Amino acid sequence: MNIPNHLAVFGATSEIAWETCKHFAEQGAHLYLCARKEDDLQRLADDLLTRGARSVAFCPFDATEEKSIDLACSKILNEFPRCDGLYIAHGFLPPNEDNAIDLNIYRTTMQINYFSVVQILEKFIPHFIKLKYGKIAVISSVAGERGKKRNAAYSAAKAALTTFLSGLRQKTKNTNIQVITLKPGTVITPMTANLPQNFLFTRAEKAGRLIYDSFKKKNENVYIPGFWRYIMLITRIIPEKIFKHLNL
Amino acid sequence: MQDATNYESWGRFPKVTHNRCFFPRNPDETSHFLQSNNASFLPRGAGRSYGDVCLNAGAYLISSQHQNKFKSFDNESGILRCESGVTISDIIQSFLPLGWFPPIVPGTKFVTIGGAIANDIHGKNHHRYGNFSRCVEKLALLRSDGEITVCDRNQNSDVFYATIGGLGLTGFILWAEIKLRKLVSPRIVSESIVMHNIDDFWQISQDANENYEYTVAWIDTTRRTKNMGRGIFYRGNHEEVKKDALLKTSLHHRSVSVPFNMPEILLNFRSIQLFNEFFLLKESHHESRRTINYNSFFFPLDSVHHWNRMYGKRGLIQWQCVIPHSNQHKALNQILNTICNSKVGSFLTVLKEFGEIKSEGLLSFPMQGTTLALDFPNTGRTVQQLCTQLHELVLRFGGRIYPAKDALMSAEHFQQFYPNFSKFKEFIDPKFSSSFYRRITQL
Ligand SMILES: Cc1cc2nc3c(=O)[nH]c(=O)nc-3n(C[C@H](O)[C@H](O)[C@H](O)COP(=O)(O)OP(=O)(O)OC[C@H]3O[C@@H](n4cnc5c(N)ncnc54)[C@H](O)[C@@H]3O)c2cc1C
Ligand SMILES: NC(=O)c1ccc[n+]([C@@H]2O[C@H](COP(=O)([O-])OP(=O)(O)OC[C@H]3O[C@@H](n4cnc5c(N)ncnc54)[C@H](OP(=O)(O)O)[C@@H]3O)[C@@H](O)[C@H]2O)c1
Repeated sequence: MNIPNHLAVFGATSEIAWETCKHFAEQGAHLYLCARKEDDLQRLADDLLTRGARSVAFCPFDATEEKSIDLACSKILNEFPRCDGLYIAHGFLPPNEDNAIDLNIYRTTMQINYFSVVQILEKFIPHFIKLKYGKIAVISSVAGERGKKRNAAYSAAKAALTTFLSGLRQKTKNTNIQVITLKPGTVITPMTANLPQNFLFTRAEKAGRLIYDSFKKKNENVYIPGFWRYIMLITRIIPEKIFKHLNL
Repeated sequence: MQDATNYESWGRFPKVTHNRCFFPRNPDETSHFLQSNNASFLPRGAGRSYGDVCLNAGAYLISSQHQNKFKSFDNESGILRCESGVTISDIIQSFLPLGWFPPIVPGTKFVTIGGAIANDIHGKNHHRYGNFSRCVEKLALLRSDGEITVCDRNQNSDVFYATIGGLGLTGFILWAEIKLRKLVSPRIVSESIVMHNIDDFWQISQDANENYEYTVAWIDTTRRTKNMGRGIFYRGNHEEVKKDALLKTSLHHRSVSVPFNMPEILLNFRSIQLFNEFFLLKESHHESRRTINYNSFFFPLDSVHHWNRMYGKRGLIQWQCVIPHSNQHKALNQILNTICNSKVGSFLTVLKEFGEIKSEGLLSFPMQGTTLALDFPNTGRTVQQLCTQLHELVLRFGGRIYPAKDALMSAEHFQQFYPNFSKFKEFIDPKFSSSFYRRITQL
């Protein structure tokens, strides 16, 4: 399968997404970008055009609003009929949780990281089926593999996302659609600017490049960078009895 | 979180604590932060300045890190419009494959365009191209009241000349237009010549400046009398043979990192003498004429990340002066003698003649003459005393000190080195300040 030449990007303003899009731009791809703020999208479009993108269009969308997601999807499918790739990168990491559970934050986290993605995919799958081709890459997270006290809401939402994507992969197995679940470890971006950094952090530039590369490959379950596969292997086999005492 | 004390300058001296560093993601956020906070602000680029021009103790830094987008590029004129957080490295990565290169580059490619403008930096081709501002066509400045001024040599030119070399004090540069130059090959034809003493330097430099675009010398400051100023002179030109394929493939540069601070015990005069001896030996054994990749020619230090940790916890003190043409011989002799007598060794000492192209910024550093840059391990009082002594000499010979590499010059000295400072003061944004600024205004 070839690398998409008409890529639609949700959460295009995310640092990781931009770093990925640079590579698409350098290859002369056509891009359609979505994020919340029009001004930011304009800056991004100028940047990617300067880097060699054949064309860049954009439209605003807010992942907390169903209507806005619908509108954006319809607009893209209308104006970008040759779209052969979809890259979903938006995400929301709530501030560190304390002991009390704020249901509203849980709902928002779930809406942005999970429901909005389901809604977008629901719109795009029929398009790709009609096209008889499509590459879908969604950024989930290693956090979705095991819950931790500081980000239980985020982990739960990313777990739902990862699980949904593996279900979707089965559903589309007889089509020419590839569903790639991207699981970054920790990446230096505005999202993690307030967390203590350690040696496991990856630069966004590298994460973006690895994601671009995974558009070229067959692997559908990708850790960014690859060593997180082993860290998560170990993390997953620690018995819950012990895990609950760990201060991670 | 990068804790607020973590924002150091490249020399890691002085050590200060900041209140906070903001990381606005776009111009709106930048303007919002500036308007909704009261303590003073200082724009922050990549933190590659050595002294305290990029520090603002007890107050705020406002980083350009996330404002690193390109805005447009004109393939005819080579004019790139980009945000201020774009680095020289970003530009090379994207435009060298198309055959374009920044006409002026410093000794590291990790500096931002905002930083390059605010210090009006210079490169090894000063005698041909002048300062960095010579390739700046236009810029947009955001002030703390939210106003954005677009300026160039015709429009709002007074703001333009204050902001180039303006040390981050006139406002936050949002974007700038940089005129790139055409290249046909990413390689430099470089030659090295052994110099036995400072007299050799004067001779070789004069000849080289006529025929070579890049000239610079490395000298050993631990030797006196007839060996004083011995070292290696490097001169080079861009390779003129068309190498299209190489333009695209020469970007990758292998690098290593210094993982921790070196123990200070390794930083004494004797070890520095040995280092210099070794360096001279190694360099004089090279073939004298080589064709090398631009990275090895311009940015040799970039292959070692965090090399500043080699100078131990206390950091290093960089010192760079320029002496006007008419006094350069006498002044350099005295300066080199003073340094050698002090027994404070410098690892990498660089000597270069600046050309006659005039500096444009009110506070730009370069002037026609000779510039000398030294780096001393920060061994405390002795280094500081030496620097004060050197400042006196520089003043006596009509020269000046480079703010981007200074942590020690006094307010009296600064104001004598930079007589335009009183004119510059009008352009300072009332909410902007820096550790450097407070030091050089405390009379
Ligand atoms: C290895 C090495 C080699 C070097 N070689 C040279 C050389 O050959 N020639 C030379 O001239 N210099 C040289 N330097 C110094 C360096 O080029 C300058 O200090 C440069 O200004 C650093 O840029 P920066 O992006 O790191 O900015 P910083 O150090 O973070 O900031 C420098 C100044 O720019 C201001 N600033 C930054 N961004 C903005 C903005 N957006 N708007 C307004 N003001 C802003 C800051 O307030 C500060 O005053 C070298 C430094 C190193 C570490
Ligand atoms: N950084 C890490 O360590 C890490 C690790 C694992 C996974 N991830 C995932 O990687 C993805 C990219 O994140 P990043 O690290 O690059 O962070 P980032 O730069 O902060 O990007 C976050 C993105 O999410 C978008 N977003 C947030 N809320 C939104 C909303 N309500 N509607 C629409 N868009 C919204 C933002 O768009 P606006 O510009 O409109 O605000 C922005 O594009 C996310 O899915 C994140 O969960 C990150």
